[in-house]
Amino acid sequence: MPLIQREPEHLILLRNSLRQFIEKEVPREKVNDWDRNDHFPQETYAKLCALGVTSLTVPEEYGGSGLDIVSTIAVIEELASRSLGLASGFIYCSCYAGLNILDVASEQQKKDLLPKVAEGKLMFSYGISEPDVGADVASVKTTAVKDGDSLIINGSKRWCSGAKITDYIYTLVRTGPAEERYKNLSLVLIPPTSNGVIIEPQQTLGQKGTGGTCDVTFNDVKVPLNHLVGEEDGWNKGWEKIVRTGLDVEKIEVAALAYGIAKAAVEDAWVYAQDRVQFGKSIATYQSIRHMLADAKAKLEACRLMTYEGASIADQQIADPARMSMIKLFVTETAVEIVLSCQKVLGAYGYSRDFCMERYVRDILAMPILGGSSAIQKNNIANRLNLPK
Amino acid sequence: MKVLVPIKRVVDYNVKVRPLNDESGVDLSNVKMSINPFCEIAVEEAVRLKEAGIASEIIAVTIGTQASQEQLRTALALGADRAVLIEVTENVEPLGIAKLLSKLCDQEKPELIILGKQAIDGDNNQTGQMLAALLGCSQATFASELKINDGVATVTREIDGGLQTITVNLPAVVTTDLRLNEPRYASLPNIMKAKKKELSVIDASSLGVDYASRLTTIKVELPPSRAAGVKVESVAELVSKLKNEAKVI
Repeated sequence: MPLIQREPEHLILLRNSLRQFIEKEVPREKVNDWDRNDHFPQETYAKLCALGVTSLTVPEEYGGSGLDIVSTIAVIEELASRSLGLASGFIYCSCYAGLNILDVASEQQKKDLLPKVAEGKLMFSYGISEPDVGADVASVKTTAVKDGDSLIINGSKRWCSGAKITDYIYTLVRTGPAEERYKNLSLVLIPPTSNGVIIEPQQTLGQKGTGGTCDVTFNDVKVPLNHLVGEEDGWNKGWEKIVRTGLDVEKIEVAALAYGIAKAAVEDAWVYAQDRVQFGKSIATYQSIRHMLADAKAKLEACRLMTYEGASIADQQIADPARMSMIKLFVTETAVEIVLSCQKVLGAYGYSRDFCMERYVRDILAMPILGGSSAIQKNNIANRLNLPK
Repeated sequence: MKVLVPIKRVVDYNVKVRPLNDESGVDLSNVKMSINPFCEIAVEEAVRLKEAGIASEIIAVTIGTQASQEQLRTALALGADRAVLIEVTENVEPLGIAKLLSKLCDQEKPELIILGKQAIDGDNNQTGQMLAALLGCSQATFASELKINDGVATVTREIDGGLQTITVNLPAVVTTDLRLNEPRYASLPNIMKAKKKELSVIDASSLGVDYASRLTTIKVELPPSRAAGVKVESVAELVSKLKNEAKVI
């Protein structure tokens, strides 16, 4: 098991550079505007990519800086602590596109697509859930059939994050009879701009400016056969591709988002408590506030340790799905507790749109739900640890 | 042209510093440290000179403990070619710094030494001037523009009441003001490249100069908090208060 160690020097420098970038290019007022207008900041995202951060999931032979999950998670944390939109864009590129292509695509697809990831010029959405398919992923109904050199796709997907801004929907489709469940699933890259694709963004409580959480319908959508992930070898291999490390790392990505938001909430509450004076002294001097802040700090530290433990496990390619589920469960649920207690420190201001806290509250509530809900993580933990049913 | 860029590790400008309980100094425990912002501008200017084909090599140098390697590595990630840490364990004052730097200049023979006009911790604004004096070379302080042509630097200086443009012969010491440039962010590929660049460590005592402190810090305390103001009803009342209470008119 990895031991806690000091972060490597390149990560310390990368964090410094990102913090400078965020300080100058991503002021709070801008982020509040993006949130209110549900706007994904393409221009700022392009400037972020110019720092080369999306190359962290791309090996050097494909134009990247070498696979480094710990640093990838650190970038998510730093971005999420200011802008969930930028953090999401980074994930669509580095993780959804980068990690999946690296893990399960064909050699030709890696050569074609990974250099684009390294430059920050390729984003994927996940097209896994459907209106009637949530946790039971193997029951997807969207179909793809071969038609000469093409695939014809029909069906619909739900909760496609970022489909308004991404280049491909990484779509799980059925490529044979439904009763065979796991045995005839495949993954297809479908450009959201293809003929026959209808995208309908859902209205959500938070996660504004992240490119939308969309319903996507495919009506006789035609894509070239080489859009099959893994090309010919990928036919009916969707299940084994999707249960590989991709979804396990996604749990840590969500944990990093939750940790980043919670960290920002604690920082804001920490400063507010010292500035706010009531009954002649700052509220930070009252024990009830001190205890709330101390609890938040302690929980935050636990979240940090678990998140980076998970990243480190992923970096070492150790398969430990039960632990990954524990991390996703604990960090996201604890981050909700942290943010809600920090909101209390700000009193009514924590409920006002004039302060970032209100946004943290809306965004953090999604974290125990997306990327496999807490209930599913609990099932995973009990099942993976062989608790008799 | 070889360029030497002395930099300093300081408390990050975003940190609200507090005195230690015993008032012996500033509390530096768990405080984020960064390159002094003026030094970062100096590194950026040197890198731009190199990109313009004027500078051939950029050497970043600092005087400090092993911890200062982080700031040197940052300078390397921003584009410096190699770095030198002159290692000390104690606090060194501007004259000591200037002496140590002048020894390094004797070895390296840079044609341009570019550094921040001051550091945001001590705000001394002395090192550049002292170094030029020790080297017996020209100096151009508070630069907001720098052009180099045929061994001559044309420097626009920010002075009280406006700008002054001077020319100095190289070698010269230039100190940077805030408006000289806007430093870039260290990109990931450059951070990775910086890992492989040379960072050498020199023991300060081996340079044979006296850099012992000549000053004693008696006490570090917060400035007194300002008393609340008052609202006046009329200009006449204001003038009367200025005359009779503040006694400034």
